[in-house]
Amino acid sequence: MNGFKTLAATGLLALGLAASAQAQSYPVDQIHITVPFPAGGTTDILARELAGPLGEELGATVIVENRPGAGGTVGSNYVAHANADGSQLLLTATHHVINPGLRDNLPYDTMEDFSEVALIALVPNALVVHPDVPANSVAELIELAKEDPDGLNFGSSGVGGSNHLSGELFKSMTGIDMLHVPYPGAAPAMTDLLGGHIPVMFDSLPTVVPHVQSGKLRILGVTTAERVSSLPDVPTIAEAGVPGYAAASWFGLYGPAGLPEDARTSLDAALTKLLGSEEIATTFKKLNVEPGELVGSDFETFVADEIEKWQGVVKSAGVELQ
Amino acid sequence: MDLFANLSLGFSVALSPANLLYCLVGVTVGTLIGVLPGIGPMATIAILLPVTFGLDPVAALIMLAGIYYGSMYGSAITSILLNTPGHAASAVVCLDGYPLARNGQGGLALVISALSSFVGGSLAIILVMTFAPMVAEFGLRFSSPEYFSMLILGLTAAAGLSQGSFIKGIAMVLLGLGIGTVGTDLTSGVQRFTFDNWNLADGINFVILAMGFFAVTEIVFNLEQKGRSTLVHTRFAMADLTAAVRSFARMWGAVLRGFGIGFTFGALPGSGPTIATFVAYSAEKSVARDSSRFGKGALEGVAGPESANNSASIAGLIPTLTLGVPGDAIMAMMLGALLIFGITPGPGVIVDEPELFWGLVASLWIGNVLLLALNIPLIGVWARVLTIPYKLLYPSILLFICIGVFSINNRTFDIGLLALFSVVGYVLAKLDFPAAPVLLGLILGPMIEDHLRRALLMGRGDFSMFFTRPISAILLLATLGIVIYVIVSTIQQARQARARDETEVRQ
Repeated sequence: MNGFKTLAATGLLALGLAASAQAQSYPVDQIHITVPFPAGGTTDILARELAGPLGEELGATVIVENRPGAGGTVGSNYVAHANADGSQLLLTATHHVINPGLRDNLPYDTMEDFSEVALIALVPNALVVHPDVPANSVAELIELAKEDPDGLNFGSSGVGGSNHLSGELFKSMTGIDMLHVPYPGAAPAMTDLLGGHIPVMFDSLPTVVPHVQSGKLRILGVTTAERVSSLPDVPTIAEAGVPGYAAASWFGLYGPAGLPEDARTSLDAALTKLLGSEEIATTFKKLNVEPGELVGSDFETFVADEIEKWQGVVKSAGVELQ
Repeated sequence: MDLFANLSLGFSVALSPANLLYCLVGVTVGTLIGVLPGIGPMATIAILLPVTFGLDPVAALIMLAGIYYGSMYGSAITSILLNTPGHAASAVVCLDGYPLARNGQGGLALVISALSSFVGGSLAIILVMTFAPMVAEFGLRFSSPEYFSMLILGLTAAAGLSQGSFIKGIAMVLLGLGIGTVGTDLTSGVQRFTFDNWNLADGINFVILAMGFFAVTEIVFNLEQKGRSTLVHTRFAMADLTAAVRSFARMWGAVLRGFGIGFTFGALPGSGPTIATFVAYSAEKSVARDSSRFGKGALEGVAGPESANNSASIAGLIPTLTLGVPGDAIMAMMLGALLIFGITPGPGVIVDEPELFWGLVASLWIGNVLLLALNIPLIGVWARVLTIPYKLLYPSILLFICIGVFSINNRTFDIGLLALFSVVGYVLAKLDFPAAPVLLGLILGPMIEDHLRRALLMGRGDFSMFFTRPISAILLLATLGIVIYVIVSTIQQARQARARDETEVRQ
């Protein structure tokens, strides 16, 4: 087995040397996808579901590695400074575009140090309240907050997460006041919302739906620009009284800056095919996320817009760190 | 009657040959990986999670649960034999388990640990079956003010953990609290004591500190003995097993107390087994007639916490499955696995997926039986680990510790941190500072701070809620009760001692 590997490697090396006058060939044998969050989270699960089909598509072994820490910064930093031959990729969440506004001492430049590969998936957030809150719609909630500015708290998974800033965006667009109460992760915040200890929260749709169905939470609206296909009766926050409001969580695939042209082309082609495939559609439906559609330069424009949007929200909310 | 219908459904699912096999594989592999020093349940599940991806949801969850308590027990084995707690909850079992192993009673400690875990776990499973939804509802009444008061109660109760000098014990708690402040401040997001190093942004992981202070320090201490072994190995034969089971029969009180404490703490989302083991240990120490035996190899110091640990782990499934809210990081990983299979955990799980819920509950018990059946015959083998020549044993332990520490975050920085803690731990141990209180400070400190600040934030700075919210008030009253009890009994003891002195003088 080892002898065969050595032989194969020697053969590949010879091929490589022969081809070295031209560009180095892609794909490489092994592709590492860094997930900057712990194993078992949505980002991790997406990466593992993507690894198999992507590996088949490219004819390479795709390995998922978790490098958690500092709101995704540790893992992003690792990939930003990794070898840019297409063997090191990063799959990360909305944190990636929120961090530049939030932290002024990032060890990398979010726009300059990465090649944007593809928007992998989107997860709508929902605005939910405990059933004891006397508000049946977004408009009634705004009314309630205006009557009693000290009365409403909203929970989040931590300072600077997408469900914190969805709330801050809501506050700045409606001019109401709600006190932000951060928790160490979305789960403990959800527990306190179910127990009625905090009245309001923005959380991902898959998490809240079972509680809404059992009557333990009331859903007032979704944060996406358009209604969600699985819940056609739930209005968007934009149409329910806050025009222009949009704040989905999303997951993107990146490489280090300066990916070689053939790596870009192969990745573009593979992801365009995968994200449109029946297989990924089924898998993602199971995970309650929607496949992304943006690849390459379209995705790059999207990232730039998102960074600008969240920078504005962070500034108006006054949550800048350090 | 529903219960019996549910149970027969559960057992019919769990006893199907395939699921039984997955359960056995999970328990075995979990034990084998968990027994490696420095590799706890968290790392074991992370390593083995992808293995379960190809299975159907029920089988996968059964296997994951098997891996979970297999690795918990594996962790306990190395904690007892080698003083290497791979998981916060197994730190406490080191306190008396390791002295037992050093006295050549490692086999006995392992039997007590296995049987206590089994009984504590089995009792917890019965309660989960009958009361899961009710317990979950009650757990929802706990918010930050209640958790704060509960943690204060836990801290007060666990104060008896320190041995030797009171001042040194307090100093070590403070050191632990200090180390606990490193990292991102939850309320403001500001980085504290990280010296602009991103590797410190999420604080210092418990396992790294425990490995440095407990395991590496112990290895260096043993090396100092120049060829003389501090670990005494004795053969473990059938006769020893019967003797061990007979000693276990005297542990009923400890096991039942451990179960009660474990179940209470485990069922609350957001507390978990760690605090339960600390509190169970202190409880045993305070009810014991002669508390000076603790830390030198008291069997109750193994039985109580081990029973509490397993019962808390099983009770921890209640919030995880019924509310879809994981009690700790390990449960969060199990939930993540459920999502992969397209099952959204939540209040509907028991009704919508009865096979999954009751199958899992039944397999929990079967898994515990398998664990016992697997490990009792193996105890002789585990105890023989100590006969491995030190020149082979210690380098391998160090290697595994480094792998374990690296696997937490995939970072070499953490290994440097381990080296630092090893040096600090060794120096402090030389100066007779006890290591357990540092762990207590490091684990409870950040939780207490977090809940206190959140409670005050939610109450807009009003302290009175700690006394006006009924559960919180009861917990604080209990704390006050413990403090008064300790003061009164100390005064009484001093008086009795003085009276004795006086009679002696007169004679």
